[in-house]
Amino acid sequence: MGGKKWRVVCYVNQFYAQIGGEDKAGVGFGVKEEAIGPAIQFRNLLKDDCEVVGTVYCGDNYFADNAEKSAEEGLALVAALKPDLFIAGPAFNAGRYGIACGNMVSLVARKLGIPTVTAMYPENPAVDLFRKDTYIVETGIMASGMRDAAPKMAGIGLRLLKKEPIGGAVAEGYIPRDIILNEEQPDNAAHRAIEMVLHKLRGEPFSSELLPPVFDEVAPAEAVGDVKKIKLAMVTDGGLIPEDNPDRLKPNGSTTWGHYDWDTLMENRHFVIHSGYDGTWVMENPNRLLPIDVLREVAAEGKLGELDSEVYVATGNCASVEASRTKGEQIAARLKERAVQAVILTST
Amino acid sequence: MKLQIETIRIKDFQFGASTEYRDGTLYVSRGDILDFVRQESCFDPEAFNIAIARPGDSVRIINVVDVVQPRCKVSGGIDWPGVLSEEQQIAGSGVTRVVEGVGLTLCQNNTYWSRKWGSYDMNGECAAINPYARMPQLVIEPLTSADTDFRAYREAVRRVGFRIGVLLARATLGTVPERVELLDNENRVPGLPGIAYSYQIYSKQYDTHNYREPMVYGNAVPDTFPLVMQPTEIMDGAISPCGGFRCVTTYEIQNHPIIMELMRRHGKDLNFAGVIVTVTSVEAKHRSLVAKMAASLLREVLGADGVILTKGVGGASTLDVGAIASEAEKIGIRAVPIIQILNGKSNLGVECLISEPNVDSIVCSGTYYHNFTLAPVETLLGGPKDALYLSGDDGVIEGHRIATGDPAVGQVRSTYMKQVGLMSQIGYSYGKAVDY
Repeated sequence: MGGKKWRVVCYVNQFYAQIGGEDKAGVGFGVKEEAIGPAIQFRNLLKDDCEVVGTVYCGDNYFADNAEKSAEEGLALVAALKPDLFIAGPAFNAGRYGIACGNMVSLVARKLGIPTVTAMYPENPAVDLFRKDTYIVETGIMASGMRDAAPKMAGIGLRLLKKEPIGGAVAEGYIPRDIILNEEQPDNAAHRAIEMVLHKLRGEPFSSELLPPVFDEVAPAEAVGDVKKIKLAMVTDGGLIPEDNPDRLKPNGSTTWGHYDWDTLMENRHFVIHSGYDGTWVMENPNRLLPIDVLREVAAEGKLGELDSEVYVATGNCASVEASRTKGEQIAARLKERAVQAVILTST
Repeated sequence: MKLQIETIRIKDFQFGASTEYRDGTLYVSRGDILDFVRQESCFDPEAFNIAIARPGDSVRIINVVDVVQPRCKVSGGIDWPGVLSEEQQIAGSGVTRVVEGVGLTLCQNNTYWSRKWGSYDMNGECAAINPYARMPQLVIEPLTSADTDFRAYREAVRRVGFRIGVLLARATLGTVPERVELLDNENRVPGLPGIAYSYQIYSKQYDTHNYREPMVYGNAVPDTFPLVMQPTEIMDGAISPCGGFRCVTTYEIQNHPIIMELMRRHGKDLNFAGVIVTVTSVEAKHRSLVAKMAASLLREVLGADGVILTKGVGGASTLDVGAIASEAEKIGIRAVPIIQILNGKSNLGVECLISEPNVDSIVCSGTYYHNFTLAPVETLLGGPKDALYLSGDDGVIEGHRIATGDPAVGQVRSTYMKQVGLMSQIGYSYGKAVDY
């Protein structure tokens, strides 16, 4: 380092800035050009390589009243201190403080391009909003968890500055950022499986490497009633798209979808982009994927009110749950716009 | 059924005037290989590339569809029944010669035909964790004309590769093996738990033009119900892929890590109760029946107390092993499936495709989409010099170029799944998925 130390800026709320409790939550932004509150711990932990050049603080209510505007105001104060690393919180289970820390680290990372760290209790509502933008070290529910959290935060921050690798979420104590990576183990998967089944048979403890997820409960919509009066649309994850792929669907892991007028789709060149099944039979007769032919007959006979002229197409292959949820929301919005009352979803 | 395997470890491949084994080196005659090539009407001996790649070489091999270990029967059977012969014999007994320390890498020069292909580098970040990059490889790249039928081509690639493997192993027969091992689970030791293996070998979701890979004794795999097969039979030539790389190689089946470990522990701390073979169901009704039949076979025929399950590639395949594991658990058989994560931008809490709550003992051999950026190489094998390293899952589908790639000889982006040797569906690999 040659004597030069990295500059660290911290963020705390009015309470940790020792201005006051809930009665002072309306206080606006301020800066102390020193470490105050929890920042003192970071100063001590990082003293060999870094200097805490300032602590930016703000009242939780002031920040939360207009979080976006507050974050911009805070960013200007942080930027003026020319930090190399930004540390916010820990916010523990404090909801408004969590939102403030999350907004600050997120904006600082994006605008200043420097490493950021914060810390929260996993059920803090800010966790889900910001865990992909930064490293959120997992804390206990109470502020007494500071002693455990601070060294983890400082350690991650320092390695980010040194461009050294950060390990997995469990090993490092942060909340998963929605990145899954592989780590080579001492034993191959076959050996691990045989050991696991023997432990299970003997009633000994074992650690499953994966567990079935707990899914959201989705309440079904009301029944449509009289089918003769509804507008029906067809939705598929089978990846049947126009030749020029205007919505840039991918063969797998796709995050986009498209809506296409069926007749236009059929009259022009089209293909199956989904790489998880053999598209031969769908290409031979696309009604196998979306039975528009039969549905039109049914509609012509008056047994179905109306069939949407558009079809809604995604590629399900290896899509993440979150990407699928987003696509679902977008498709549902389009369906609502077109006054569709019911859909049939076909899979492959 | 008992199988004796006798192993010789060799240090290197060299090209030579004749195919022979001398002082730890296996000399390979190009002429002998071209004799095999001439037996296949779809190959042009003038356009048949053969190369040797060694650990540490600046070499990238693309269009890889299989890696094969040189082996031959010494007695008690024929080589690759149903693939190299019309004659059908049950594999898995007698004596087999195994050549350790080298591999044969088979490439297909048409990505449309292979539908799925892999690649690997002989040096760099991925090579450090790749067993195939740690041994000299004889790389076989048969070229063919565009009007060749892809089915004929795929099968010819496999035949040529297997014939070379047999030839090389036979060349070592004059030398006394370094290790002899008897794989035998005929007699059970009372009091030890019976562990079975449920092996899903195939999923037709990756068929091309409804071509069913002839994976079982050279026969196409139908929508079969569970079969009982002998463990030695599976490793000794009954099952081999044909066509595309889907995270299992012939090399891994020949050295099947679950079968080998269960055999080696048989009579010590477990009894190897046997193997059932399944295929992926494409309909829920079939899946439900297969799951119940498999569980029933495990208990009533194999007498299993526990079972390890593995899958073919894909999500539907995972549902099947989850269903079998769940049915097994319901009748008191402890089940451990080995599965993978199908994407990289998520967390393990939501991405387990098995949803039966009673399947609570799972090994996860990694995510397919752990990405790598690989440095340029000096030599490209398996394709033309100007070949592209296509991003995504498939470069070309139904003749539609759906992804563009960087020149394969330069810096490329690749995935754990695409690196042959890093991800093994049958448990040969060491990776595990971790939240970051």
